[in-house]
Amino acid sequence: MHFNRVILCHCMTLSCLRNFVLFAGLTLFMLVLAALPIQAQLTFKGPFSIGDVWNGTATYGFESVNGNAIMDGAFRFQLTEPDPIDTALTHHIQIEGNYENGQKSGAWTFKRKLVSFSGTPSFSNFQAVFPVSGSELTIAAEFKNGRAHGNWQMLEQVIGDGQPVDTLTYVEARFNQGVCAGPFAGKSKRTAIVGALDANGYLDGPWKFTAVDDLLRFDEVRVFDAGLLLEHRLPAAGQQAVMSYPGLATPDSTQRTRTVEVGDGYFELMDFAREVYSTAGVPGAARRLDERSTLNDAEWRRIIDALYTVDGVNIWDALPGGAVIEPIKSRLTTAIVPNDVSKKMSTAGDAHGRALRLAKDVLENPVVEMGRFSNEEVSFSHAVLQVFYAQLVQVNPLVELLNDSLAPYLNLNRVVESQIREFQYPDEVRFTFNQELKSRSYNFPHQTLSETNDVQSFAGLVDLLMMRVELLKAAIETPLEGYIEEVALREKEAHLLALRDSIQWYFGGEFPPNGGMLADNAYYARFAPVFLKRTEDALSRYAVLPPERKIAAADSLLLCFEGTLAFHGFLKQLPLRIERVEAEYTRTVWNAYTFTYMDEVVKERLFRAYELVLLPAVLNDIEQTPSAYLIGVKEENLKRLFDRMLALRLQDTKDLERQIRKQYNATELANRMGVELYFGEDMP
Amino acid sequence: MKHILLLALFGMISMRGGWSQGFPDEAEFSDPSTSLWLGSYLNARITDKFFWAGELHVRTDQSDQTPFVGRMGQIYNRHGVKYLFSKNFSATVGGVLRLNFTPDPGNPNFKPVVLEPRIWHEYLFAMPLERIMVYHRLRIEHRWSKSNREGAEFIYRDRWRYKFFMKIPLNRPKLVPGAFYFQPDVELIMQSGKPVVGSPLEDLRIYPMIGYIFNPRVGASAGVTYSLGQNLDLGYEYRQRWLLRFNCYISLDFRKFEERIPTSKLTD
Repeated sequence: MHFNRVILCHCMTLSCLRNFVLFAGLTLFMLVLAALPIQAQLTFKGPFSIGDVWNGTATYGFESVNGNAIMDGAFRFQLTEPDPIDTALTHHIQIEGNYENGQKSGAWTFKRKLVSFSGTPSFSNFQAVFPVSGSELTIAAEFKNGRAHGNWQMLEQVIGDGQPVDTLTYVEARFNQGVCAGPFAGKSKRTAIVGALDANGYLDGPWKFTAVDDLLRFDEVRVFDAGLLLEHRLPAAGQQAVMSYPGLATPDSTQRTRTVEVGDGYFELMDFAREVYSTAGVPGAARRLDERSTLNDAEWRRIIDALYTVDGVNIWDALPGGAVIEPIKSRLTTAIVPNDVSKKMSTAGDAHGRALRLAKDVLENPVVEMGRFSNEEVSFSHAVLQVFYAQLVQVNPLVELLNDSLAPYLNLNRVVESQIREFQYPDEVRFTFNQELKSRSYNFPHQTLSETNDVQSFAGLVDLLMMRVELLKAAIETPLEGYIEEVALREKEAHLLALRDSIQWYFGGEFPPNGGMLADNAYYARFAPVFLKRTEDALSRYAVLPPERKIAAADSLLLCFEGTLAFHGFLKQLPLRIERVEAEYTRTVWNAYTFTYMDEVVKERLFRAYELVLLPAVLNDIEQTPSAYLIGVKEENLKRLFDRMLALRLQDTKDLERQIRKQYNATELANRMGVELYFGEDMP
Repeated sequence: MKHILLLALFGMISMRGGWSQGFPDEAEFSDPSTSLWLGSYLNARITDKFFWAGELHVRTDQSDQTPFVGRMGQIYNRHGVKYLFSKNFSATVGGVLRLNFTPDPGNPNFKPVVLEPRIWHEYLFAMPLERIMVYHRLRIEHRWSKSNREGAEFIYRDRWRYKFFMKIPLNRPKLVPGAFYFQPDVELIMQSGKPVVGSPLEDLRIYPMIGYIFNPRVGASAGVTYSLGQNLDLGYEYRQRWLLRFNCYISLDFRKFEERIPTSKLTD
């Protein structure tokens, strides 16, 4: 019995203990659950924009974590719309992939179809099936933790009658943790590119470019070592020529190299470098090889880009969450540009810019264009200037390159030498005078041009060009001064009359010719007759001035008329401005006796000084100051007064209000209030 | 008007079971006396919802030789806290200390001044119409008063006051600064309590006046009041008065400056 009790007690104790453990475990579990961030799997389905270019619909899963939405799960985007350029085509985009915790993960596909439905439908299973034709672009990508990872493929095909009939572009690359590494292959209609990248994303080993053009095969090989171009072989005259790049910076003893993204900058650089390349053993083939290499570069650039960019949109960046995809890289040797050379390059840039601007101003001046036919020397100088201008335009890319961030990668002296070789001055300059074609020799700086073979001499040439342009400008404009002034005065007077007409329209109460609104308010009614009379008076006085004083007077009068027209615009706003000040100085208070709201003026003494003295004084001053030239000053008076009143509203003005007690003189009030007002003929 | 009141009184008397023996068959109306009432009213805003309501009244009565201002009548201070429930309803509670001056100066049987304390609370309803404002005011007072007569004891009474008044702007479309307004005003004051036997109608005041709003903080009014009420001890006796009244109204705002800055009405 006792044993039984002991057993029972033990059992009860064990049972209780077990229950306690279970209870404690459950409690702990509940606590842990409560402590976890609240997560909920939700699905979005609705309008979606990619890169602000493709506006379609998307379906994706997301989790709400502490109020933030984190994309998670399948993603699908679709867009079907008429092609914005050719509306006969249908533009269809579909993107599918997967997010994990807000990052792209696994396989992603991008499809873009640009097709038209044409022909007669065929009927199958009671369905009308239209054959489509156009193109289809597919990118199959892979990601891991938001980084490009795995094999990527891009395929662009021509579709005819619903079937692929031709391949436009094909690209295959491999990525490892966001870095393009391993074999790379690309093919377009005319070029096939095969190469590889090392584990860090640098061009590595041989890259073969096979181009087929008019049934001729062109094999180009570029050999890289960790991004550095070691050898460049091209076929020429039945043998492989080795291409060297004297245009690139020569490595110094330290073999300084820098990483350069194989992108726009790299290809631009290679283009410049290729200008001065040479081919060992096959010199005669240089030009053709250069062109072929340039075409290959263009294809290469397009093929690399095709994995990421469609219609100018970087797909993987534009999609939510972005993606880590490091660019393909190369390495280039750099040279240290000495300080004096660097200074010369900068000086050449400034001189070139000034010369170009001067020449352009003269050549594009319509007065010069008309006047040059009145004088043979001017016609000749004009023609010479055109020659210099053409040269300045031609050397513009070189000047820009000298001051570009790419400069350290180039052998600038060699580039300059090569570029300048392209230019020659004519033996004689041809020009037209009195409808007769003439030609005359000019002392062009042939010698300087022929001696220009490095950066320093190039800077000297540019300086010389600038001086010549200045001389030519003077030679053209000096004989035309009288003509230019006369034409300018005629233009100004025409402008004056046009402005006068506008003033009459605006202030005469007619609708303005350009559809503007009249400032139809009490202030307009008050000032319009005043301005109309002043305008006519000013024009009458101008008309009787001697010719030599007219140019200066016309300038002043133009400013005056423009100011008057601007004042019309100000008049439109004037009631609002005045109301604005009143509103700022009015507060609405609730009255406990009447149970109603009442408006009350705050800072009453200050406001009354403005309302009863200053504002009327400024408005009267506009009316009474006869000079039409001061309208701008008067408008500023009003603006300053309004601005000052608005500023004072926010300041402690107790002292000021004491100071202006029983003060009714506008000038004195303005001084005390710290606002500059110019009455009568006073000017700032 | 007298006939209507008499009918009303007759009704009340009938309900009480008739007057006691010895009362006259007809009510008696005293000759109207004259008084001058000067009042100042203060409403000071303490917070967005609370106001301090203060009133100071000085009243003079006629003497044998001098109408309106023959002798000092009463001075009283009324103070309270007003709570604004909405823009149409407020309630106020507070206290009154009234000084009642002797009705017969120089008579040794009357004390020159006796105090009369009150507790009061009122409920004011405002009804905005298109141009005018209509008001209903319920005021309840609990008063402890006594006669100036030597040896008189305090008696306790409750006053039940209902006032109807309007403010009608005359020269402006609304009640705004610069507006003159006409205020028709009628107040019925009933009373109850142990000492009130047969005299529940303490006062009926008919008070037309003209007011002017100088600005949202200051206003003034002037008017004449006809007052009619039963004598407390002899209900059949009716006291009549003509009161000249002049009031000023002060509204102050004790809130912090920042809280009073209004928002801009217009923008560029």
